[in-house]
Amino acid sequence: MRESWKSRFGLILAAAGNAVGIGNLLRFPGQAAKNGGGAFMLPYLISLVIFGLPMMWIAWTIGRLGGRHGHGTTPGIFDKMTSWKGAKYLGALGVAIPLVFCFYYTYLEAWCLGYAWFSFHGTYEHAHLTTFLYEFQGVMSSGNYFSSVSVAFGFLLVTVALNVWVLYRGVAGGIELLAKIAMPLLLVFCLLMCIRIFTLPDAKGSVGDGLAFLWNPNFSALLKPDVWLAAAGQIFFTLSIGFGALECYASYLGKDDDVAVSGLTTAATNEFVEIIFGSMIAIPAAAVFFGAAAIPTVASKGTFDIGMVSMPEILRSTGSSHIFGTIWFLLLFFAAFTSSVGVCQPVMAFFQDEAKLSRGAAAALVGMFWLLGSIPVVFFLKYGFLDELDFWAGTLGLVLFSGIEAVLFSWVFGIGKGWDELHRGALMKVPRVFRFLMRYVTPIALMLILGGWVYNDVIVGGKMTPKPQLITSILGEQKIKGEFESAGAKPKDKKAHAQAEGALMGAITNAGRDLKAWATITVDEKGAVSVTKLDGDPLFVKAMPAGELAKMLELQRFHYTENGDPHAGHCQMVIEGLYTTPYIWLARGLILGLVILFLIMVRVIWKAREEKELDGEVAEVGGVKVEEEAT
Amino acid sequence: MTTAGWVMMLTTWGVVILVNVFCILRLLGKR
Repeated sequence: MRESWKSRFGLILAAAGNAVGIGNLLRFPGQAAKNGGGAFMLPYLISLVIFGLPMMWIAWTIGRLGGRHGHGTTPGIFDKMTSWKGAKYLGALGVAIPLVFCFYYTYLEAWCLGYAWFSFHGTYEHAHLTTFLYEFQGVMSSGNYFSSVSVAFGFLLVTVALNVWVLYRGVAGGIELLAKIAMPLLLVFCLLMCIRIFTLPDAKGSVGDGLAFLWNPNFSALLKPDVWLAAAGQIFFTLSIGFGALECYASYLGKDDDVAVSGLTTAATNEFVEIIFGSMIAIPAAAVFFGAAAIPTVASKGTFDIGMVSMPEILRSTGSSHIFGTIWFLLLFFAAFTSSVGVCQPVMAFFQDEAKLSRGAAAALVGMFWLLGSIPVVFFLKYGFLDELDFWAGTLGLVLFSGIEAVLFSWVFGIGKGWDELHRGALMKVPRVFRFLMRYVTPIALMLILGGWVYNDVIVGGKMTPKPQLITSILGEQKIKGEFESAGAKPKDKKAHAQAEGALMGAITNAGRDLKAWATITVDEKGAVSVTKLDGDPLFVKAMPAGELAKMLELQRFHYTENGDPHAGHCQMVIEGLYTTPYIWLARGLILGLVILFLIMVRVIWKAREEKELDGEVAEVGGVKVEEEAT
Repeated sequence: MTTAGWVMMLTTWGVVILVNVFCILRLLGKR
């Protein structure tokens, strides 16, 4: 017998926990700030209505439908929705994609757990936070704080073990119980963080500056297609659509249990955390500490820089990193934890429902996959392995899969049947306009997002061709109080910067391996950096001599900020030219391999099932025959 | 913050809170 939820309240907390993730608190404010502030909310809310809510209802509806036939994952669900035999193979994507997502999302989750531990112990109290983070992640090899990636790997092992343990405990005893503990805790942590931020004394700016930056509308931004694409992308990621997780959660419902209000509540709770708490923590804190003028730079640095560099810096400068740093990172950890167990549940359910494995065997298999898939993410992070998985599976794959789901629901299963199914046992009447949206607008909107991303990143951005990466770090940085920073090349210098790098990039590609060099750099009293000596791989030194390196650093505005220590003097800089190609293709191969593996599993399982059914029929016919002969 | 900023923030928060209240009432109403 399939498992079921203990209570509706627990299910909704679990579904909301699945939707609420790191992105609500870090990605949302960054995206809003970058794309028109308050004006961003218009395309954001429109996206929520035209495909966020419809996809939420579609997921809940088909999930409950599948559960009625004993299927919690999309191969089985799609197979029951249509007589077309190919549908189950499309459904295999709904198991492979979440598994790939878990491989790298758990590593982000492990960073949060690690940082909660470091905050509690005051490990980064006097550290250069950017270097601390990159060394922890294994991106920089300067060895100031971490000599290898083993500490991060340790936290990953703990995180994977915790996730597998929750999955092993089952839907009610594991996922639901976790949600009942983690979600209230998450809200309390959010409140505590808001109180801390809003009681910070004004420094270079105020909380009001941060809110103004986030909410003052710039309506001209609405004319830019990129802003609409960013808003649609944010809605997509925040609601956890396309993972097959909501379908799986809904499959454990009874056939007449409501899905209409449950789906809406999941979205509403997620939006509550995102729009209210997401705009009251990171950006206002950055405004107080760095000043209003610096927020665009902080916001543009990316999701993890706000959360793991700016926030610890703010909290430690106010003398509260031990308590509030721990709270902040536990908050992020719990947000990620409730999401990762949800996203991996379809994989568990596939092994239980379709392969008929016991819960223990399924958990062991999932754990093995999870661990094996996470290892290259940890060790090849600096080669762009994680980003590659995120782009193809966690970005394009999710939209593609959602598009398939929307078309299957509205056009193959039929919007009439689908609409009736949505309203079976419903506690509300969904406005009829959503029937139109589900049929026409949602599939088109999803295809437009997919097309926009493919155009921006693959066609214009040249994502298909792997490019070498340059990483620079300073040796002995913990002894220097000041900060080495790169402000990035000015738009007018971008071409010259690319040219300065060009020869080295070419040399790395031709060599087909990493090229490493060590430079002695000297800092003058104005913070300007010059290169006085360069040693290392001969191919590196030939392609980028000291003069060229100095030019490249100047173009990217690499400089020293005093922070009370004017005498950085001579320093040793490590420059690593990374040959990323094999790792990028390994990531792509991993995704493709998993998709093929699940396609084969679906084929084998269904073939065995058909043969068994056929044998049953033959036995029945045979039985009748024997009876007839006897009479 | 400008008046338009306040309007955007409070309207969005208001809508989100109202939808949450609606959901809670519907879920409780069934019991």
